[in-house]
Amino acid sequence: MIRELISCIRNMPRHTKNALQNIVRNSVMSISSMLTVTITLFLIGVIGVIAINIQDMTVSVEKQLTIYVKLDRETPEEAIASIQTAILGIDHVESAVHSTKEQELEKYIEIMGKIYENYRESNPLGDAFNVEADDGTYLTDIASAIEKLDYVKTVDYGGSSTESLISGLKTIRNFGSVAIVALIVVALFMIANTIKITITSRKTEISIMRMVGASNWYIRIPFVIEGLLIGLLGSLIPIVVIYFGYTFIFNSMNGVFISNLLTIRNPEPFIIYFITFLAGLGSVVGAIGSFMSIRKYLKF
Amino acid sequence: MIKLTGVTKIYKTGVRALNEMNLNINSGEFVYVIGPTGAGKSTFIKLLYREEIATLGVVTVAGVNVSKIKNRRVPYFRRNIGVVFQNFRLLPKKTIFENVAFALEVIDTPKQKIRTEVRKTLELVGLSDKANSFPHQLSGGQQQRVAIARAIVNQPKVLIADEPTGNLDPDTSEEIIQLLMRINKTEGTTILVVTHNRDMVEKYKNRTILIDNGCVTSDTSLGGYINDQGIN
Repeated sequence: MIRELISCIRNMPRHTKNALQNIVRNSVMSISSMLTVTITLFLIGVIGVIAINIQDMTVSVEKQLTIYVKLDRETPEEAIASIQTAILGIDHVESAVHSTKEQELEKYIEIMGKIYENYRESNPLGDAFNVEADDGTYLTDIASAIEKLDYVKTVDYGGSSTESLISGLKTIRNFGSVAIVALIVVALFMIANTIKITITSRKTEISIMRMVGASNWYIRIPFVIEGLLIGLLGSLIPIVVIYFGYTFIFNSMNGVFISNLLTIRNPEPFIIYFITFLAGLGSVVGAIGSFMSIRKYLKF
Repeated sequence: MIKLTGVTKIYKTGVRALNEMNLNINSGEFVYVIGPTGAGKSTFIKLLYREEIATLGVVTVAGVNVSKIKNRRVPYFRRNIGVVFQNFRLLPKKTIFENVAFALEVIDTPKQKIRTEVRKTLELVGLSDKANSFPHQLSGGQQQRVAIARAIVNQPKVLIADEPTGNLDPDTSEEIIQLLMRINKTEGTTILVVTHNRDMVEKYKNRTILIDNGCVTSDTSLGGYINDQGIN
């Protein structure tokens, strides 16, 4: 086994040359395999870019969501700390920032105008808490748990519309992830199948290799390199289209989708990483596809 | 060089292809293997290069008990055996030089040695001037010469030719047998030729083994031929 592997590594230039020759000499099959890779990688690329951006948007929307808890005016000073502890004790609460009645009034004055300055003498407001959740989908649960606490006057948050925005984004993102995994599996089998047809047409070549004493690794390696190169070459078109397409869309929308809340991820360096991932995926899927297809021809 | 002791081969389908076959072929011999279709010749040959494994008995080739070779050692074992088929089995997309070099490449031969050995072998089979041609540009006889060159280029101990003249006209067939006999003489390779070609066996007399019903029914070193009643 070790001897075979050493021999394979030593023969790598020869294997690569053979693989390249095979691609050229079996050009029709090679091109059809490449097209399979191109189509699936293109779909994976488009869905991937959308899913990643939706993930970003979900996170950014979630981050901007807070529950605003108003306390009764008569809440005793000593109860504030225990209310804060109680809020922090609720599941999925990330933080609960205390705002004193004086700070609340200042905010009012800032927003509503100087007319409220008169209230400095006798502040009608109570203390408040700005509560953040670690996951936007639990807003209702958290809000209703807070409502049950003593001295809590009102609990405000975006309500069901915010929740449905978040759950909508999450559904799209989850669908995207499932679609990507499914597409990778489909790509693997499609490539394996195309390569299987290529290999079937080269059964004689394999049988001759076996006849003259080629080890299984010696036979396998050029096919695997061939699969890898087909995967890599097949990924070129999706890479170019996605790189320029994404950059174009980003620039023409100024990085914003509908509102400032929903931003598109900057192409630098994201899209470079993403296309590198696509090229890697194409190569790996091509190599695995070849490996899978040739297995049955190498049994003694 | 080749020894079969009580070899029986029963396929999964229940067909008994060889039946307690015994045979001994010495190093450097040239042997014809003849017999009717379905007699067990192909199975006999497949046992020699470990394409099949004997159900019972012992097959020894070049001192190796073939049945006991582990699967991953089979390629190394096969490097001792050259095989030539009726349909040549050349790689259509490789040149003649590449087809022959192929047998040396797979056994890790250095590039320089491949070049000299392939040239030498192509000269031996009389095809030096066709090195850069592709198989489809050659005649049947020439293609079979290439197949022979590929089979002997790594100097195997045994060369098995399965119906090497089956697809060739009589003159070309004669040339091929002459070539095989020349290789046997000059290189000392043990050669087994499976054939239906009566004329050839008659004309170029060598030891002839008749296989029928899965066992050796006649074995003569006189090279006599068989008529409908058996070996003369």
